[in-house]
Amino acid sequence: MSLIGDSLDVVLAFPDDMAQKLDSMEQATITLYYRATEDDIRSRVDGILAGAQQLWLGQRLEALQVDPRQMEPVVVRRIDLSSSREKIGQTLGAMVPYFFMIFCFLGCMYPAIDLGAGEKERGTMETLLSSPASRLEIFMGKFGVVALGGLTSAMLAIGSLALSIQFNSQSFGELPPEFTESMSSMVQPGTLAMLFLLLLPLTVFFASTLMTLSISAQSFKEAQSLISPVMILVMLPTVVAFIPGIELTTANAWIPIFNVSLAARDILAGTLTTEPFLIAVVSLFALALLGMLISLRYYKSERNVLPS
Amino acid sequence: MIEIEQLSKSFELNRRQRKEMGSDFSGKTVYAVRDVSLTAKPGRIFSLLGANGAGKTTTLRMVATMLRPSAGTIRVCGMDTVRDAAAVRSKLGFLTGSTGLYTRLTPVELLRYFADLYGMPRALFEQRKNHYFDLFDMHPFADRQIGKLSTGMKQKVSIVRTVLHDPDVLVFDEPTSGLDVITARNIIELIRDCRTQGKTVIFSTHIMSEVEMLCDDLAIIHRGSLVYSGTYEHFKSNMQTSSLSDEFVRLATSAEKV
Repeated sequence: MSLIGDSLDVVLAFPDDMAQKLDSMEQATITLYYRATEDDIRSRVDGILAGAQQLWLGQRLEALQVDPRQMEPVVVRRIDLSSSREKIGQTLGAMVPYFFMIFCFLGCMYPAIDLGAGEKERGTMETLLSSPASRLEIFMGKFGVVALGGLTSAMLAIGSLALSIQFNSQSFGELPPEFTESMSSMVQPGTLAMLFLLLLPLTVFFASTLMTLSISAQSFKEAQSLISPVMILVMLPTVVAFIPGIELTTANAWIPIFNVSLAARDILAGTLTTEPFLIAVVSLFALALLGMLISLRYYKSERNVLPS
Repeated sequence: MIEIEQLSKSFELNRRQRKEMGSDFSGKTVYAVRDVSLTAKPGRIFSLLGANGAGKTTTLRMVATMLRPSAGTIRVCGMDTVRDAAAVRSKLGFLTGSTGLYTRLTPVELLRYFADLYGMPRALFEQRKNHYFDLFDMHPFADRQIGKLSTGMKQKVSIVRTVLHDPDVLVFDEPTSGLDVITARNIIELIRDCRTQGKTVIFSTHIMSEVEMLCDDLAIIHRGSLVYSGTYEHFKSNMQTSSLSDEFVRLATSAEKV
């Protein structure tokens, strides 16, 4: 009743003849009353009961003069062959693409909104279109700024991480040395070059998607409301890289954004295989080109480019 | 010179827009401008009159090559606006009442930016910039951010931006819309100056006093179609009502009945 009334978290009911049953090597039943909604408390009690069970088992084996090792026919000896870089890379490596993708997306987002819908809203788009510059030239100028914004933002995020590891290793004093060594090995020029190979088409893809949405909006606010859900769509596949056991394969390397997360994680962990990486890079470049062409088509459309 | 021949512009409607047109509407396209022909000559001011939504802005945007005609042709200084769009734009100055400026730039920076777009040499830019800065007394705010300027100051920057490259043709789309009397006066003066300099000027408006003040030739557009095109003197002498406003309403109403 106290349990139902919430005054107790768990109740353990011991049988009256518990001591006799233990002494006579019989099985005694202990009843555990708990709430499934407070599972953490139940698991704590389970842990204590498991310890007691081991104690009683040891006492019985001793009484029966049986060596406890005889009860364990096989012992498994586990030897971890993975390097500390792999271990750290698998966990921290999942976080790095998450950060650089957020920075890349945000770096593209505000210039895209401003140079598309923002120009329409302020009335500067019409002025610009009346100049001798062609629509392609104007688009490429705008696109360049948006992509450069995303690239700079992402590179600053990676660069600042790399620099802080390289030059502030003293501040990681309390961390084990293998951690700082692993982190340093992750920020080698080769690793950064491979990350850049993923980042470049990704930025172009982000820039083209955001430019397309921004051009189709009539105002800054409308563009923001169109782009906000896209940010969630971008972040969801990125989070998948945190799930252990998911590997970059030749099949999933075709899935945009998702492939960047997994490839970046494997690059940082030093476990990258060439074929899926190449598929990821090629598919990203193809997607970036397609996105750019769609965005340009949108920009050339009279309906989209002029204020209504 | 602007020569417009049988100009039409239609827009394809999406499902939502078709729904908004009401149950009587059954087509897939709507005409913003239909079969309009007119000529604006150098040294004369051409007024394009019409109510809101009549098709004035669409017509002027086609002249400025921002929109492609669905049918018909426009020739600016003898060049086709579709085939020689970039060359047409280099001969054209375009100003609207809602023309925006980059607020984080200073007037000098903004004008330099547009001078670069028009391919003006640095020395010529400096010369023309100084000429207009003297004329409009713009030196005191030349290096202040445009966002911090008053409406009148901003309008002066817009005017200089429009004429800086010395265009042969000037297109003004409701240029005084939303401006106070003093600021609007600057625009009126600019349009007069352009006529004096022998430039071709076309401007749209629905303010009749501006028409009386400025216009040499005029056209009236109603629901995309041309209702009248001719000289202002001819229009005035054939008026069947006492005022320009009344005559404009009369013509629009009779066009509605047709």
